[in-house]
Amino acid sequence: MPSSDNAVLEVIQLTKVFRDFWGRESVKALDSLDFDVRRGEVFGLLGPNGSGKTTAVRIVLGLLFPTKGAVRVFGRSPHDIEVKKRVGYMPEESHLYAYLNAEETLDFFGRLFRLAPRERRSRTAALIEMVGLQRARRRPVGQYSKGMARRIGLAQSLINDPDLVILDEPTTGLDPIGSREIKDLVLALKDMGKTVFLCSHLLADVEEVCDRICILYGGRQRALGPVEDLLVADDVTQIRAPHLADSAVQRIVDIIRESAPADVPVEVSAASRRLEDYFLSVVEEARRERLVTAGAEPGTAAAAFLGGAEEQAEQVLAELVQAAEEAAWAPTAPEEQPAEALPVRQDKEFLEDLVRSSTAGRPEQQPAEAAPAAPETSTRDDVLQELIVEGPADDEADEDDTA
Amino acid sequence: MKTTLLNAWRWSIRRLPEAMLVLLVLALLPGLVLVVLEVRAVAARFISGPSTLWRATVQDPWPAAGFLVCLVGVGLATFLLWRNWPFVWATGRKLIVEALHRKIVLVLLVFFVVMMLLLPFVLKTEGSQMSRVQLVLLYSLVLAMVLLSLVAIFLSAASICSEIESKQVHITDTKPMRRWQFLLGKWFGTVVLCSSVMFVMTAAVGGVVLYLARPPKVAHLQPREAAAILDNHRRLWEQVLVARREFLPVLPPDLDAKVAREIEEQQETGTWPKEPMMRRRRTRDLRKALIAERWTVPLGRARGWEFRGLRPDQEGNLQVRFKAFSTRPNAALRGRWLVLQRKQVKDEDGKMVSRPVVVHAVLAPPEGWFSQVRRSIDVPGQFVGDDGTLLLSYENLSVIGDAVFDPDNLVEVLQSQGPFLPNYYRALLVLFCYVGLLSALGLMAGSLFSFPVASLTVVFIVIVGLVGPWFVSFLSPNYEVPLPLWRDMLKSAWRAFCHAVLTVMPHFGKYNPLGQLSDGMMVTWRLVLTSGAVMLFVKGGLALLVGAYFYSRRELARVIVR
Repeated sequence: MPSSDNAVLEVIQLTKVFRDFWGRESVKALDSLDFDVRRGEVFGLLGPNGSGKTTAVRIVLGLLFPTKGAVRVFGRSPHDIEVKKRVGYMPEESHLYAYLNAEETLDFFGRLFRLAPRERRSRTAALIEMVGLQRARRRPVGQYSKGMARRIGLAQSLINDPDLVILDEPTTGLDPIGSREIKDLVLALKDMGKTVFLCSHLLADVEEVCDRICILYGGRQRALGPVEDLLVADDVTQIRAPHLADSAVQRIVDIIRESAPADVPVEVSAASRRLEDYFLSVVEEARRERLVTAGAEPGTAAAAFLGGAEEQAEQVLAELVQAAEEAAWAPTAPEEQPAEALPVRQDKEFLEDLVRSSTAGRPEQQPAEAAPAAPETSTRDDVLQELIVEGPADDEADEDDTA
Repeated sequence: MKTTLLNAWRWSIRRLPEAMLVLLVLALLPGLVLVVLEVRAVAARFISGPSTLWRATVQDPWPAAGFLVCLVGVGLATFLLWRNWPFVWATGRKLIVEALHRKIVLVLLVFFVVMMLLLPFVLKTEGSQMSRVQLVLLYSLVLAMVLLSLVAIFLSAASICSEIESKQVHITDTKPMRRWQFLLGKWFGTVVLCSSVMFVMTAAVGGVVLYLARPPKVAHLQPREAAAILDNHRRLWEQVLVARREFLPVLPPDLDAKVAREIEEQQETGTWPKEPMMRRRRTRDLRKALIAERWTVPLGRARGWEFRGLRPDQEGNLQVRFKAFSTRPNAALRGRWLVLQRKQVKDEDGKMVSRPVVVHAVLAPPEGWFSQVRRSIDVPGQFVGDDGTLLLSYENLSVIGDAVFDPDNLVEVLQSQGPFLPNYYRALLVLFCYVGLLSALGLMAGSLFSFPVASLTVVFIVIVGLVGPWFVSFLSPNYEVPLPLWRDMLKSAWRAFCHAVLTVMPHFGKYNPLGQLSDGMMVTWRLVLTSGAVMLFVKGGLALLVGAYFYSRRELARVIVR
């Protein structure tokens, strides 16, 4: 029952039935779907293939019409032009114009938002840099790999600096680096106060970035709520610590045995790194060796114009560099983000957060022993290094491309 | 070097849409100037004699109606394009860039150039300069229009269908652009692309035609041969590369009274049909029969024709066209055409009276005139009276048989009203309306159907539009025996339906200016205005509205389950 005053998107008893040529009911894609997405949160729509996620997204976007129920975006119909001005959408597959290059593609979509030519150019450049396609910016999109096409698909969804970003399977087709960057970007967008509505069947992705989720099965809503609430296991306690001696482990097990029934199993094992973390560390090492790739390069942080404080970008950038140096690259405790909606913050704060998060990582995801090669840290470090020496490096890239 | 060329090519591709838009605007500007001049001329006529203009407007309201519709249409189109320019040009520009990348324009131009080069080998002319120029002019323009029509249909239909099928529209539709704005942009892009290419092609055709029509070099020829070639060159500029208007003879004043009398007689005898369409046909036949009777020239006698409204004091020749045959089968007509002028002469009593006097005569060729085709003679333009009247008479000098002049092809006088280039330009304006209409039809079909169905639908509409007027002639009832009431009603309803469908269909043949252009006839502003009003603004606008209606209500991401 969507009722929050803070709701950006309201889905009310949404039902969608597809009919065949003769009007007979063929597929009931959605059945009484009911949820809302609140301002500033990352909301995930989860479900196996064919559960109705994409259908729900398409109805939210006005590409399909509901059979029953209603959808309100910013309190209006999804077909409202004022609504569309505030929404960015990245579809499941990047259905872009194959003969246009990245610049022309973003320029085209920028024109549809009636952006001034100068604004279009600056946003296009910023977004292309953000998604790491500087070298391929003049190549027709039809020649892009799937991952590169996804990146430009993401860039076009942000050209209007949207308040609501709708991402349909955002990490599909992306390599782990691209996938990581998308997830970082989603978090960055959230920090800017934007609302993100994403649907995916990749549970790990959703778990990492979403505040609340809704799980669909067969077009019906099976679960809805904050991720922490839904995933908490009340009957299990988890302890994570640096490598301990066998004797210390044995003492801990003994303590646990004293307070737990004898028949309850207690497991102690060495923590293992996630494959994603390991992969990212290998790629990072290759990058440090300056191996050339024809594909996408590492993207940068969210483009400065997102959040509407572009004019302060230069100043913020200078402060960011200073803050980065002062932070001494030491891990600090992550800040707890309130589960409720966040107010829009200044870029300075966001970028300072970015620095902190880049150095701190996320404790529940990064085991202590993996700290030196933690891919998130490395990616962020890379961004900051690039920001510090950005001028010459960028010029060089441009010259290469022109040549 | 290669990189520089590649960069230059990319740069030009990126700038070509704007270049095409500028080209189209520049190409349409002379039209605006000509329209303003025409309006000024009409306004001057109105000031000098309002009643004359009013009478002319009442007799033929189409030019005025066409002008008003065009004025409103141009105003509306300008307003819509102006208000929605960012969307319209973004969408249209993207369509043009894609078409350029797909090499559609390049292939079109190459194919056109190849066909132009092959034309002299394909076309069989009688060898004269006039026939060569006439055929090159006609077939080049027909070829250009066929190619452009196909491109306009397929490009517009494909631009919608492919975006829906490849789901690109899923992104575009989520942007703050209304669907009708999207369609308008597609239409505008197609029109800019096809029209700019059309103006380039037709400029090339015009250049080739003027090159072929240059004065022949006859210094090395025998005088007689040189004279024939120079005469052919003169006739080329008098009869092909010119804008002529046809003048029909003044009908007998008692014609309508005679027709009415005939009808009364038939009503009295009970042979007058009851069905309205049959009545109209019978009246037409009676009228034709009386005209044929009026201008049947018995053996050894003469009949006269009077033409009014010609321009006096014109140099060069007038062309008189006629189609006549002998009442004797396979007999050639032998006779002579006499040109008369009213002059003050003394009558038998010595009084000065105004009488027609023969001032010029044209004899039939030695073999005579046969009836299969329309014949023509040249008459010096100086014989047109000061009041714009031309008097002609035919004297039947055959050995046997009367001369009957075809009532379906009345004797007509063709007189030059202006030079070739403005006429050529007016014809291009009509072709521009074609492109606009075909693009609108393609978009309408594309917004309703998938690509193959959409393109076939438009091709079907074009075919029906071409054969429609011919098909209409079969709709009138041809039964003399009265039918039962229900069958009569059924047939009437069916005829009304067919009439309505054929009226809505675009009549491409009716507004085709190419035949007139290659025949040296004037492409009148009446034709330009009516084709602009009917084809571009009314039918094209209707097609776009229908397309926008269905496209706005279409579920673009619908899963089709069959």
